Amino acid sequence: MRDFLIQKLWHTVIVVFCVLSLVFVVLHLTGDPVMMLLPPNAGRDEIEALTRTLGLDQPVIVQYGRFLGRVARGDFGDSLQHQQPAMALVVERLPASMLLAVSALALALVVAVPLGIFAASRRGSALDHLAVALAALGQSAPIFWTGLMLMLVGAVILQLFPTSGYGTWRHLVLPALTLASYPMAAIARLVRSGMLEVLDADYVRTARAKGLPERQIVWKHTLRNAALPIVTVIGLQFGLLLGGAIVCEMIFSWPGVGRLMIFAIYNRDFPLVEAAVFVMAMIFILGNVLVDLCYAWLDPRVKLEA
Amino acid sequence: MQCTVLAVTLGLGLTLLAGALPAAPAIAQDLVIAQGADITTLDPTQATQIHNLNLFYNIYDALVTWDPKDIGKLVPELAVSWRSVDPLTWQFKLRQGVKFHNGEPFNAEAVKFTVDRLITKGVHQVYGGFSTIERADVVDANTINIVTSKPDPILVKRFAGYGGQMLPPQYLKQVDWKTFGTKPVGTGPYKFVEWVKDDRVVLEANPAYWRGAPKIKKVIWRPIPDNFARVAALTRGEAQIITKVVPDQVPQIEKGCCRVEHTLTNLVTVYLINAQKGPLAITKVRQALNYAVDKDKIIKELYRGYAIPIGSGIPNTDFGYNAKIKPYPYDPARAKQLLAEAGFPNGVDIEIQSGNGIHLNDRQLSEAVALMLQDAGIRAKVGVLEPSQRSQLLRTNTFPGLLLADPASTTYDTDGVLWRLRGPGGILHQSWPGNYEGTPFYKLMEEARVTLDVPKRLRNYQEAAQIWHDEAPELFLFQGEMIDGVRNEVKYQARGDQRIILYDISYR
Repeated sequence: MRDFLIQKLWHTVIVVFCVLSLVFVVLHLTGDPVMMLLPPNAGRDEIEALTRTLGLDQPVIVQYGRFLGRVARGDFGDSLQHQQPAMALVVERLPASMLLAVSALALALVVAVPLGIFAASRRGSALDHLAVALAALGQSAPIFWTGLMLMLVGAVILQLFPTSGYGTWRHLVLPALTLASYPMAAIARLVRSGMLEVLDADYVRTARAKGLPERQIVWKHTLRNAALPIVTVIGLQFGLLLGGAIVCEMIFSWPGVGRLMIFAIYNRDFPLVEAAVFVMAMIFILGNVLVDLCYAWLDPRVKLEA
Repeated sequence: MQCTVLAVTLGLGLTLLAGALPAAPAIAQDLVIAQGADITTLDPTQATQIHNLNLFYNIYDALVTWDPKDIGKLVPELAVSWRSVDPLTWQFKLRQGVKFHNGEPFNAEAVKFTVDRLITKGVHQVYGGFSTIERADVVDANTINIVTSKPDPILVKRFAGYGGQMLPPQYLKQVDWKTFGTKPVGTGPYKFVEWVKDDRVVLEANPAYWRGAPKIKKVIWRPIPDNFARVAALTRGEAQIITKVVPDQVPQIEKGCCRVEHTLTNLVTVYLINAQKGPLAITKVRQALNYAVDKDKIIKELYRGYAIPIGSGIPNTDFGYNAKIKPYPYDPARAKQLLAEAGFPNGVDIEIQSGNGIHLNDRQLSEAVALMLQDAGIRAKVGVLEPSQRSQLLRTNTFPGLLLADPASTTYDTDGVLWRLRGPGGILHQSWPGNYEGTPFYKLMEEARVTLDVPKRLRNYQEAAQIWHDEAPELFLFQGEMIDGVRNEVKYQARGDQRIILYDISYR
C-alpha cells in the first residue's frame, strides 16, 4: 500500500509537470495577454511598457524557467486581469464547483443505479425499453439544450426554482439536474449491461438454487460484481463534472472554476489558466487514486502493489 | 398501467412541491442589475470594459462627466469649473466639502495623487488616455493645474471617461493596490459593501453624498453570461434591469412586466480594410465594397432596426461629425463597374474575418456581407477568429483583407475614434497609406489634435471625414444602439454612453 502511494505520487509529479508545460507552451503560442488587457485604442508605447512590466518581453525559455521556479515554490503569480493571486481565485471558486459536481454525481447515482438494476432485472419489459430510451436521450442531448429546457420549465413556466445564481438549495436544483443528465444516462446503461452479464453467471444460479431472496441476490451478489466498471466511470465522471461544467456554469451563472477558466482562456490570463489547470489535474489524479483504492475494497483479488 | 401510475405520482409530487415552496421572490425596494460578465477589479485604473466601468461610475466621481441628455457635452462633477490658463495648462477649481467614503477629504492633493498614478506607464491599463499629461501642480487646496507636454484640446474630456475616477490618497497609504481592487473607496453616490466573485457585487447608498442621498438604498450587480438566462431573470423579477439585450429577444421582454430602453451609442461597426497591398490598396476596390453591401437590409434583418447606417467611421455623437456625408447607397452594378475600372472585370478574392460572439451577431454578419459581395463579383472567404488571435492580428496590422471592429471614442471626439487608432503610434497606423505622414489627411488630423481653436478643429475633422468617406479605408456599416431590459416599476433611461448611473434610477 505504501509503495503504491509513493509510486502514485511520482506519477502525479510527472503528469502535473507535463500538463503545466503543455499549457504554458500552448498559451504562449496562441496569444498575447497585453493585447487583451489594454483598451483597443492603446498606443504602441503603452503596449511595450506593459509587456515589459509583465516580463513578457523576455525569451520564452527564460519565461518558462521562471514559471517552473515559481510553481515549484507553490506560487502561480497574480492573475493579469484581476491583479489577485491566481491560485486564491481558483480556490475561492472550488467549493461552488465541488458542490455542483458532488450533487450532480449523487443525483446521477441515486437515479441511475436503481434504474439500471430495475431495467436489467426486467429485461425486455416496457420499463426496460423506457429506461434505455431515456438513457439514450440523456446521453445525446447537448447540455446547453438540457439546461435551457430545464430553466424554461422549472424556472420560467412552473416558477419552482430561481433562473440562475448561487446561494440556496433552490439555486442548486436546475444546474445539478442539467449536469447530472449525462452521467445519469451513462451510469444507468453501464449498470444495466453489467448486471445483465452477471445475472446469468453460475454463482447467481447457485444463489437462486439455494433459495436466496431475489433482492439479496441482486443487491449483495450481483451488484458488487457489476460495480467495478461503474466505479471507474464514476471516478472519471467526477473529474469531468468538476472541470467540464463550463456550459452549465455559464447558463446558470454558477460561480465555479469552469467559468473562471473559460474567461481566463479568452483573455489569455496565463497565471490564472495555469493555476486552474493545475487544480483540475490534481483532482483528476486524486479521483483516479481513489478509484484504485475502491477496486481493492470491492474486489479482494486486487492487490495494491507498486 | 405502470406508466400511468408513474405519471400521476410525478404530477402530484410536482404540484405538492410547488405548493411547499415560496412563490417567486417578492420585489424588494433593492435593485438588481444583471450584466453579461462579472467585474475583474474595482480599481478604476485596471479595467476599461463597460461592465467594470458601470461599477466605477457609481462608486467614484470624476472631475467632469457627460450631460445625460447630450452625451459629449461636459458638465461639472468634482470640478466646479475649468479653463485653459495657457496652451499647455488647464486649471480646475474643485468642489469643496466633498469626502471619500472613509471620511478623508477630497482636495487638490487627491487630484494630484490620481494624476500621478495615471501618468505612470506600464502599471495599469488606462495610461493611453492620459499620455499627453506631464504633471499636476497643486495651486491651493481647491485648485489644481494640469500641465500637458503639448496643447491638448480634449484634456478635460479625458477625465470624463475611464481612468478619470478620483482616488483616495490616504486610504492608499494604508492598503496596497491589490487590496484596493477588492475594497474600493471613492466619493461616489454608492459605497462598496461586498463582492462575491462571479455571483454578486453589493453597493449601498452613500447618505452623505454631495448631491444628496440616492433614492435606492441597496443595489446588487449580478453577472449572468447567458442571454436567455438574463431575460428569464428579468421577466421573473429576479433582476430589475438587464444589459446587453439582443434584438431578437425584445418581443420576449415586452410582455406586460417589462420594457426595453434603447438608445444610439457611439459604437460604429465597420470592417477595417488592410489596404497596404493587393487589390484592397486601390481606392476603387474599397469603394466597390461599400457599394456592394446593403446596410439597410442588414440593419433590418440582423439587428431588427436597432442601428443606423453610416457614411464614415465617425458617429453622430462625436465632435467632428459631418452630417453632409451620407452612407454609400446599395448599388451592386456601380460596384461591378468600379471593380472593372480598377482592372478587375472578373472580380476579386478577399478574406473577411470576425469573431464569433465578440460583437453582436458577428459571424452571421460576415456571412451576410460575403453573400452580398458575391453579387458584385467579390468572392469573400469568411473566417472566424478567437478573441486573442483577433486582437493580435489587429495590433500587428496583419489581418488579411477585412476585419470586423467597432471602434469608439471615450472622449466623444474624432481624435479618439479615428486618430488614436490611425495616427502615429496608433495600432492601425500601418494599415492604410492614406494616413501616413505627408498626406492631407495626416495634416488635418495632426493640426486638430494640438489646436485649442474649436471652430478650426471642427473644420479640420469635417474635411478629414470627407476624405475618409471618399477613400473608404473601411467598409462602413452602422452605428449601433444599446438595448437594456427594464421592469415597468423602475424609472430608468438608457444613456448614449452606455453607463448605468444609479443616482438617476428610482422606483415609480
